[in-house]
Amino acid sequence: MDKEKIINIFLIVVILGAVFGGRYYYLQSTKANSSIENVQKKVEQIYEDISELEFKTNNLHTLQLSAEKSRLERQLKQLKKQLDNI
Amino acid sequence: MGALLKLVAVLTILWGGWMYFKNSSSETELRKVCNEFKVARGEMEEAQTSYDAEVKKRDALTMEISVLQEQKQQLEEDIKTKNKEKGERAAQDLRNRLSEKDAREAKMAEEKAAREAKMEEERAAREAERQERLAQEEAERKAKWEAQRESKDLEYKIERANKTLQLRLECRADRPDGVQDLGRIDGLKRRWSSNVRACMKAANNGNEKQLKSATKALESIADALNRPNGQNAECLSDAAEAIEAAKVILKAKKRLKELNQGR
Repeated sequence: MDKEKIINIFLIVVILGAVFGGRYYYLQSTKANSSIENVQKKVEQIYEDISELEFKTNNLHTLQLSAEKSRLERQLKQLKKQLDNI
Repeated sequence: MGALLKLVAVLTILWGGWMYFKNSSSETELRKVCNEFKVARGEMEEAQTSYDAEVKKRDALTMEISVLQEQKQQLEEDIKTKNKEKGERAAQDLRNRLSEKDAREAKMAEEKAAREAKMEEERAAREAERQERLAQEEAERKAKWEAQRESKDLEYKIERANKTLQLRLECRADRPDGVQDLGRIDGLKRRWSSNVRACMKAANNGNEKQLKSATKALESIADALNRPNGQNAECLSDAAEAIEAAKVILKAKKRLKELNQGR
């Protein structure tokens, strides 16, 4: 075999290797991009859910309920004092 | 051909390398996004945990608040009941105090009425006493006045009787009888005067015994003067008058003595 033929064959192999390799990485990259999009959507969804949860949490008004509880406890104390004084 | 192959090879190697590079960056990007996803998921879990905790807290608070509200309602009812009982007790006390007060006032009014009745009785008794005393004083004054008047009357009678006796001291007999002489008449006349004086003295001294003997003597003198013919009849009447006057004086003096002793 000639040296040129060997080089050509080698080049063809390299080409084929580069093509297949390139194609593989391309597909991987596409897949990754698609995954990135999905994950980004999911992350957005998660943050939306988090906002909604935070909104719901705020709507629970636990602070107001605590204040109401404290107010009722103070009132009870006063009423007990009043009852004892009668 | 060889050059073309080399070119193609280079190009494909370059393309392959570019794909590799792109893949690597995509993978890096993917890893980055996956980390973001993990973080987001962690935050989501935290948010969920926090929400669940807040829900539990809210439920617990709601239950506690409802319990507290029940307790508050119960206390308010207890206070209302106790206030009502206190009010009723106060009203009962007030009623008791009022009835005690009424009883005390009635008792005080009774005692006051009794005291006033007693005072009225005492006042009436004092008034009766005063009236009695006044009547007594009036009676005494009247009696005194009566006594004074009687005394004056008696003194006047005594004076008049004494005057009568003074008049009768002189015997009026002057006609002798044919039988007896003047000497007898004179003697009788002297005896007459002394007896009339004796009567006056006895009557004014209140000597009843002496007066009795003097009057008896005077009567016998008058009788002797009038014997035997009744020629000196006026002597009898004079003697009677003198004796009467002497008796009046005696009686009046006795009465005066009584009146003076009574004062």
